[in-house]
Amino acid sequence: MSVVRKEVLIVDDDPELRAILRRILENLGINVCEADGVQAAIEKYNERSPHLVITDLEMKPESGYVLLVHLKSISGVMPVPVIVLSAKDDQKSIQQAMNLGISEFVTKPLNAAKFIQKIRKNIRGEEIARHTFPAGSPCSVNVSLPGRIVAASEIGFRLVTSIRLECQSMVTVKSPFLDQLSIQDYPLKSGPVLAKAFEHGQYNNEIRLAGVTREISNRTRKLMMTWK
Amino acid sequence: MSQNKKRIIEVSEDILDLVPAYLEGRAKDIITLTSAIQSNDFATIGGIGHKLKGVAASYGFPDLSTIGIALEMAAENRKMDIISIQVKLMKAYLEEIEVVPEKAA
Repeated sequence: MSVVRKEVLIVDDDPELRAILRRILENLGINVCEADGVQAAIEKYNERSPHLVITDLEMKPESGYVLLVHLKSISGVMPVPVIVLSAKDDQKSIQQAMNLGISEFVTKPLNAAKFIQKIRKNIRGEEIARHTFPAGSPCSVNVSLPGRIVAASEIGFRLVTSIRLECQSMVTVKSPFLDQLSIQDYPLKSGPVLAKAFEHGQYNNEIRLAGVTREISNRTRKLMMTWK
Repeated sequence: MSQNKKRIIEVSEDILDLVPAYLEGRAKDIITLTSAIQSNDFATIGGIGHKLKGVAASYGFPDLSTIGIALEMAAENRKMDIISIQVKLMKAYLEEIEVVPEKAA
């Protein structure tokens, strides 16, 4: 049986710093992915859905703040804990990053022991994060996050995301796949069986098209034939 | 006359294998810094200082980070005399250190 390990995205333009961070994290049993700039980080984030992001601020051509703004724009709050690791130590820089919702601001030079404490705290915090609703309140929450369709059939598709959807809950998916079928606003429901872990904290969610018509079925079949 | 007395730097075994490549990079920094001093290239000097400040201590070389801080500040203030002294200190430091595995506590 494989164990799903936590994954951290390191964003820094200095390969020597990335190398030492990778070593520290791997020694903690954490998987690591890296990016040397903001655009590469956004791509990596969408591809891997890491549990934690560690980023520098002073990078070129875009600063780490651009990444922070992007991450926050996904759902209005930071989708995962973010640790800023920067040589900047002035109050203005720290406040600016904190206002964007980061979890920690760590100044360089790096103190490995303190850094490990912060990693553990934030990885664990992410693991036990839960929404608790008071009795009688509506038990629902709206979230928006990236995902990818990995398989499709005439009645639905499999969507890999970093959350496990409740069975039979209504879902909205924006995807070129649905655009091609001209069913962007079609009612979608998660499957009757709870999704299994896919990899690295991602889940394989079954999504069903509710009440598929013959026409949609035909369009789906035709589209799938073009994939082969 | 040189005493050839090595300064022992203990580095965690977890990162010991990363250290030779890191120090090789710093030897190249000395060449780059020497050339930057000749051409009054404060941007390059400041950039190297900034990186030393941020990374060297993580590899077990806090003294190099301190030199990095001084280099970055001197480049910002265009103080070439201070830069020259710091580069000499850095060169001497790199020549005199011997890296050994950290002893278990």
